[in-house]
Amino acid sequence: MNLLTLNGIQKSYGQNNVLNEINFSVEPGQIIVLLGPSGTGKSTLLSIIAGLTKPDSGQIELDGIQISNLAVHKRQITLLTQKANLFPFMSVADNVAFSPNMKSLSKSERDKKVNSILEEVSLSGYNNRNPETLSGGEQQRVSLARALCSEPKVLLLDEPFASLDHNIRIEHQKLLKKLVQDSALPVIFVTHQLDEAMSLADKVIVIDEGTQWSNQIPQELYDKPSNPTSAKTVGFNVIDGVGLKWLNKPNIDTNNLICVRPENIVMDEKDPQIIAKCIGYLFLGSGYKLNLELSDGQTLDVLTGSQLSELELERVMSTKEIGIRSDFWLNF
Amino acid sequence: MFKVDIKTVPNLLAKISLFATICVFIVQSISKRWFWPQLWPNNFEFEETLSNFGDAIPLLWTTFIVAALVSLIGIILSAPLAWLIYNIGQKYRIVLILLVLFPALIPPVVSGVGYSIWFIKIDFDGNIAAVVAAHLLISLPYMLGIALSILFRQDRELFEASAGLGWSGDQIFFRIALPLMRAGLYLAAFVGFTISWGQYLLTVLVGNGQVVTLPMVVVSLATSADQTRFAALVLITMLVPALVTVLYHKVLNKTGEYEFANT
Repeated sequence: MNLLTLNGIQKSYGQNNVLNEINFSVEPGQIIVLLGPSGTGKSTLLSIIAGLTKPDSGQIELDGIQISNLAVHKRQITLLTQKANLFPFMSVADNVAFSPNMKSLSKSERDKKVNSILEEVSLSGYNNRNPETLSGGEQQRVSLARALCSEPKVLLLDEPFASLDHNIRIEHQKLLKKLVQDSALPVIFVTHQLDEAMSLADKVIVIDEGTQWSNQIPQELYDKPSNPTSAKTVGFNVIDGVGLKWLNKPNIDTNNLICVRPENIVMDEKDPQIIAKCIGYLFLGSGYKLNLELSDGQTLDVLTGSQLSELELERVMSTKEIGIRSDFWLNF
Repeated sequence: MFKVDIKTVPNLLAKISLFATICVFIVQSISKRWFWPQLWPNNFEFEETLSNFGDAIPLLWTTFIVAALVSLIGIILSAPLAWLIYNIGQKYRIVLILLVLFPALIPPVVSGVGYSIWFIKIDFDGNIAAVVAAHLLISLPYMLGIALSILFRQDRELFEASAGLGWSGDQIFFRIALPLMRAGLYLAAFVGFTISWGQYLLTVLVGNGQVVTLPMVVVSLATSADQTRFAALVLITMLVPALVTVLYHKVLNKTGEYEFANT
């Protein structure tokens, strides 16, 4: 059963079309991730769902009721952003107990609920702390606790962990997943980071330049994106097959756009499909990301699975013609 | 060797001149006949000084009541007005700001005469309420300006987050905006008090001689022969804003909101 449904959401600022025909729905306990580059309308969409921005057209339905014209405070939809937005003149406990439904509880009930939710977000004993004395991660958890206490019908998260370092971000992702599983709360999560989308999502919606490109489960999107834009968003090399000089054509229609994952390309001098030239590289720790230029000027990335030795890297960089192949091309 | 930092010289000179002026007024307030070019008074008269201070108490009370009311009503009006302007659409916001700030842009004599004529027409002159209203009209732009400046320094997301948690606009004003504006409202109250305290012309015009405040008497005595009384009243006139300044800084220190005052 769909809890939140978006139909034909459109928004533009003057000539700038920010969102174009966005349609999707969210079920209870589901995490929908909106994935796409920065500045492509994802945050505007969350702002529209929260009621902070008015769409030009389209409908939003929550629990079968039209909420498109409902005021922000009546929607029962809570938005968390990259900033924790804690009230500096209140303690952690007062921040958590800030929502109107908490005010209707007796003091003992309220304290009990605050303590229990602080325990859930691993902040037991932080009740009397001033929010400004907390780390960024702790502030985000207080903000999450406050949102959960308000018992929203839908939780919107706009890159809430973007400012946290890698390990803490992973911890927060696990915590969010657990909280969603326990509460069956539907979540719409905005990110531009592929790993975050893949690890959190039940479904990933790719949004680029205001257009919804796909609505797929993570594994499906990662392996078989439904269009070149989605493919590019999830890390595929997207190249035009027409102008390429093929030595050995893959078993697909090369007279169109074709996609290949960087990790699925191997350097093969014996039976190459295309000839390329290495024009740059990045050391990633577990391997290298090579930037190759094809005969017609198009470029593609290659991830080397294991670390190249310095000698091998020098050879790759100095060789004018590198043969590459892949057994996993996608055709559009 | 004694070194003077050139940057501290203006500050030092200001302090010396203020201190010297106060000293001259103190000596003058207890002197009997201190005329130019005498460097020091021939006689001192404490009884008259005490009597002068005693006579000033009703004036002090009237001036204080007017200034305190202006300060209080000013913050009661400027806080919600600032919230309204903060939340209103961009084009209406500018119109509203200009409308409220307008009295501060008009020369005091012009506005004073204007208010006086207006108040006479509606039969609302010659009483404390009229003086408070007139003082309020010229203090409010400054008080509102301060309230607005602190409100616009706040992150709008804080208010949006409150709305998302289920609070309506007026509830957000009382629960979030007011506490966040607190330091600014202290400053606005302080500014409103000092503007009203120093008013002379406006009080004369609107008070119609029925409401007499300290600055009115001080100005009238400035050119009189009774310089002892003049000095005593000047000291009292200076003393109250000085005490309010100390109180303002104490309150800010206590609430830990000194940062705003420094900015």
